[in-house]
Amino acid sequence: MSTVAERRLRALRLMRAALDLTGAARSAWLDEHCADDAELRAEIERLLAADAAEAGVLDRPLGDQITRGAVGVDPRIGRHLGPYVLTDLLGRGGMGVVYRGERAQGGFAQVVAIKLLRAGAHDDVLAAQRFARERQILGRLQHPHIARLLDGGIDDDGQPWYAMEHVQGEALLDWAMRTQASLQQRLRLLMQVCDAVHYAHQNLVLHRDLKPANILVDVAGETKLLDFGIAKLLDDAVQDDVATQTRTGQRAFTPAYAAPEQVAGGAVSTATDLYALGVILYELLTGLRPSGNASVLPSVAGATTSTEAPSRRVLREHGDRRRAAALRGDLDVIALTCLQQEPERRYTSAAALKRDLERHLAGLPIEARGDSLSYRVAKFLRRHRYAVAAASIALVAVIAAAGYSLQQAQRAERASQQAIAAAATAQRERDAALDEARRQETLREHFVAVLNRAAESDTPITPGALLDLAADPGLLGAFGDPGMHSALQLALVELFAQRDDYQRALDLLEQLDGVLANAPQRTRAKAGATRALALLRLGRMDEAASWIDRAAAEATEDQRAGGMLPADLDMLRAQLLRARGDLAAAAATARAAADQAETATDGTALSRGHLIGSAGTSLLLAGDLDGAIAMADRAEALWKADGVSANIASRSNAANRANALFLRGDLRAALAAFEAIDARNGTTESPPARAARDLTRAKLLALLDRPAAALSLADAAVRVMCDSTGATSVECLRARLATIDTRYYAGEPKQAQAELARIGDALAAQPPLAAAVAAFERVLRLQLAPDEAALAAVVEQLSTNAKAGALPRRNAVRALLMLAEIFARRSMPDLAWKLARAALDTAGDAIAGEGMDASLLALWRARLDAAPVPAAPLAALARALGDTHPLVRAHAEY
Amino acid sequence: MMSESTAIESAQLFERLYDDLRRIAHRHLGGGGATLQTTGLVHEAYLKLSRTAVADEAHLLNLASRAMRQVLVDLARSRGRDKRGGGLRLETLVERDAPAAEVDALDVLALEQSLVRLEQAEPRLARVVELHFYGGLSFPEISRVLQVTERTVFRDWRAARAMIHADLVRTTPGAGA
Repeated sequence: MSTVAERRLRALRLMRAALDLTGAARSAWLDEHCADDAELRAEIERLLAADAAEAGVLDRPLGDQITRGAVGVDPRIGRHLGPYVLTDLLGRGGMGVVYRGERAQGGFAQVVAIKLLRAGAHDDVLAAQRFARERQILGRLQHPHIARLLDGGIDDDGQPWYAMEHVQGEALLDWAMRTQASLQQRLRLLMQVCDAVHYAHQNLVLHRDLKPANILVDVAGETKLLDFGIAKLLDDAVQDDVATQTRTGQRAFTPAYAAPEQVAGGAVSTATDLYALGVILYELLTGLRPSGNASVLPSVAGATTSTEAPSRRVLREHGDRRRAAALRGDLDVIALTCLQQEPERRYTSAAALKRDLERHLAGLPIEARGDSLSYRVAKFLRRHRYAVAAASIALVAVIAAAGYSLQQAQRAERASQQAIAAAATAQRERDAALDEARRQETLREHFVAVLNRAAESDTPITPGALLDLAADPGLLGAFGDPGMHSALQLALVELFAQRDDYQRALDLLEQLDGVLANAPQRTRAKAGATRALALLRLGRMDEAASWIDRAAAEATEDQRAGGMLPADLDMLRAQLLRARGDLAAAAATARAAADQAETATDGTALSRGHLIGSAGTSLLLAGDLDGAIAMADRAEALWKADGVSANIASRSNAANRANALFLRGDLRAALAAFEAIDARNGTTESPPARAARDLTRAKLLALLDRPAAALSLADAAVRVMCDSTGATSVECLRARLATIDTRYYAGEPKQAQAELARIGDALAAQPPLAAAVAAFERVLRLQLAPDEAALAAVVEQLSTNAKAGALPRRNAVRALLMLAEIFARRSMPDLAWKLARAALDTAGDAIAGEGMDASLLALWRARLDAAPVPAAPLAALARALGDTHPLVRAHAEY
Repeated sequence: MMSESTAIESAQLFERLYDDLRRIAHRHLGGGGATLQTTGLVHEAYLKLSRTAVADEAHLLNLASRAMRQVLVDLARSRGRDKRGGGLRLETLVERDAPAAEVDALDVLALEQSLVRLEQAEPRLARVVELHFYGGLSFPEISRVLQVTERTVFRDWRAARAMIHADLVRTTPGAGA
C-alpha cells in the first residue's frame, strides 16, 4: 500500500499521459490505468481539474502580483498614535493591520504591537464610548497566556487603534510543524490556551475569533492568545454602519473556525469559542481541518452533519498508522465533543476541556465519555496493570511457599482484598470530590452563560430577569440538575455584592429566605455574612450587627477552622465599630481579622490579601499609620508569594499605603509611592478613584514646594471628580475643599479664600464638613490679616478639631506647623512661636517618628528652649522632604 | 554532476546574486517604482555579473532565478524586524476588504511550500517553475538553459502548474472545496 506522497507522484506521471486525451478517450484511459484504485483516480482527476482551471497563481507574472505598497515601505511608518510611534509593519489580517510601535512619550522604553482596526463608524459619540468601554473590559484581562491590551484610542482621522503587549512568536501550527512537536507538547500548549480562554470567559469576555493564527508560541515555548474580544468591537462597528449592513459576509470571524450557530448569524456564547478550540485541536492532532469546514460560506447555515474522527482521518489522508493509534479513543472523543453541532452538547467550559486533556495524558478516564463500566475497568487495569498482576503473583507465591497452611494463605488473601477494597473506597471518595468540583465548575459556567446571554440580548440585569434567564430550560437542561437553580441564585447574590450592588443582593437574599431555610448549614452561614455586608453598606447598622452574630452562630466546624468566614465576619465587625465611631476597637478587631486571614486555609491568596488590605484601611482611619503601612506590606507580600499579579484591589492597597506615608509625613516616600501606582497601568481605573488619589498627590506636591504642578493637578482632578459624581455631590464638595487646602499650601491664600466663599452655601448643607470648613476659614483669615484675635481663633478651632481623633489631631498639628513656618518666613517670629507652641501642645506625645511633622515639632521645641539645632530631626526632615526643600534650609540656617 | 570547485563557485556566485537582487529589489520598491518587474531584476543582476567572467550563461540564469525566489521568500518571512506568524501577503492591485476570504492574495510562503514538495518529487518540473515564474524567462530561453526541447518545457510547465495549483487549493483556507 503506497503512501500518499507516492500516490501523488504516480498520479502526476499518469496525468501527463492523460493530458493529450479528451472526453470518452480520457475516461477509458483512466478506467484502464486506475482499475481498483479509487484514490489514485481521484488524485488524477484533481490534477486534471487544476490543469483546466484558469486563474491560478502561476498564470500571471510575478511582477504583476506585487504592489509597492505591500512589499515596500508602508506609508504609516513613522506616524504617531497616542504616546507611540509606528516603526515596522508586522502583518495584515482580516481585521486590520498590525504594526510594531515604540513609546515616544513618557520617558521609558516600551515596545508594543499596535493594531489598526478596519474602518467602521467612528464619528458617532456612542461608538466611541462603546469602544472605550470595551477597551476597559479587555484591558482588565491579565493572564500569562493572553497578550495584554495596554492602551488604545481613536486618532484624529477616526481610526480606532489598540496597543498590545508585543509578542515575539510563531503561529501555533507553524510552530508545531517546524519543531515537529510531539503529541504531548501540542496538547500541553492547547491546555494553556484552554486556561486563558476559561479565564476570559469568567471575566465575561468571549474571543469569538479563535484560530491558530491568533495563538502565538513565544521564544520560551509558551502560548499567548491575541485579539480577545476584538471581533465584538468590529461587529458593533458594523452594526452602526448602515451601509455595510446590506452587504453580506461582513461578520468578523473566520469561517473555517466558526461554530455553526455563529455562521448562521445566531447568538454567540462560550460554546462558540469552544467549537473553535475543537477545530484547533483537530488541526493539532491531524494537520488538517475537520472535513466540511473548508468551504463554509456565510450564507450556508451549519452545513455538516458529521465530522470524521481524527484517527480515521489521519489514517485515510496520511496513511499514518502510528498517529492514528495514538488518537483513537479518547482524543477522538474529546475532539468530536468540541465539534458538536449543538452548543449544549459541547464541553461546558474550556476548563472542562482542559481537564479531559489532562486526564487523558495521565491515563485517567475522561469525562466526555459515557460511564460504561468496561471503559472504566479497562482504564483502571491499564493504569494499574503491574499492580494487579503483582497482587495475584504474590498470592500464588504465598500459597506455593513451603510451610504455609491453607488458612494462612486465606488470611493473606483477605488482607489483600481489604487493601483492594480500601483502594476502591479511596477511588470513590476521589470521584465524589471530583463530582463536587465538577458541579461547582458547571455552576460557574452556567452562570457565565447566563450573563453572556443577558449581555448579548441587552437584557437589563435585574434579579428577576437574570433568574428568568437562568431558569431557561434551554440552558438549564444542558446542565441537568434542578438543584442547581437555587445554588445559582446564591451565586448571583455574591456577584451582586462583588459589584457593589448591595440593594439587589439584599432583595435577592430576601427572596431566598425560604430556600435558605433548607440549605446546608455552611451555605446559610455564608449567605448570612453576605447579608450583613449588604446591610452594612446600605447603612442599616443594627440589622447588620444581628446578621453578623447569626452567621457566626451558623458557621460549621470546618468553616471556623478554615478561617476565611470568621475573618470576614471580624472585618464586618470592625467596619461596624468604625461606623459607630469606636476607631480604636475597630482597629483591634481588624488586626485580629488580618491575622486570621493570613493563615486561613480555605481562601485564595487574592481574597486573603484583600482582607488584610482592608484591615490596613481600618488602622489608617484609627490613626495607626505605622500599622497601616505594615498591613499594606503584608498584603503585597502575600500576593507576591502566591504569584498574584497586580490587580484593582492591589491598587487600592497601594493607595492606602501611600496615604499613610503622606499622613505620617514621609512626603518624598509618599510621592514615590503614588507615582509607582500610576506607573503600574493607567487604563482601567474608575475616574473618581483616580481623582481622589490625584487630589492627595496635589497636596503632596504643594507641601514639597512644587506649587505649579500641585495646582494644575488639583484643578484637573476636581474637574474629573465633579464630572463623575455630580456638581452637588459630597465627593465633589470634598474635592473642592481639598483643592482649597492645596491652594493654601501652594501659597495662594487669597484665591483659596475666594474659592471657599464661592462654595460656602453648598458647604453649609453638609454638617460633617463643618469643622474642617471652620478651620479653613480661620486659618486663611489669620494668613491674610494676622492679629492676636485671628491667632486665638485658629488655635481654638484646631484644638477642638484635634480632640475628634488621632487623624484629626495630626491634621490639626500639621496645619499649625505650616502656619508657624509661614510666619517664620515672613519674619513675624512672635506669631510663629505661638503657633509652634500650640502645635506642640496639641501633639503631646502622640506624634513621633521620622516624618515631617514629628521632625518639625522637635526642631521647634529646640528653638523654643533656645537649644542648638538638633541634628537627628534635621536629618530626618531632609530625608522626608529632600535636601533642597525651603523648610530644611530654613531650619538648617537658624 | 558538478565538480568540487564548480560547486564552490556556484555557492559564491549565488551569494553575490542574492545580495545584488536584494539591494535592487529594495531600491525598486523603496523608491518611486510602482511595480516590481522580476524579469528586469534578474536581467539587471545578470548584467552586472556577466561583466565578471562567468563560464556558463545557463548556469548563471539558473542561479539568478533561484536567488530571486529566495529573496522573495525571505522578504515574506522577515517582514519588518519580527515575525508575527502567517507571513507576508503580496496583495493584488485590487484591494478587497472582505475579512473572510482573501482569495486574491498571493501567499509567497504557501507557494514556496508547494514548490519545495514538487522539488522533492520532480526536480526538473520545479526548475521550470523557478525559471519561468521567478526568473521571468520565456520558454525558448528555458529550453536553452535546460537543454531540452521547447515542447518538453511546455509540457513540464503544464504538469508543474497543475500540481502546484492543485496543492494550493488543498491547503489554502477558503479557496474552495
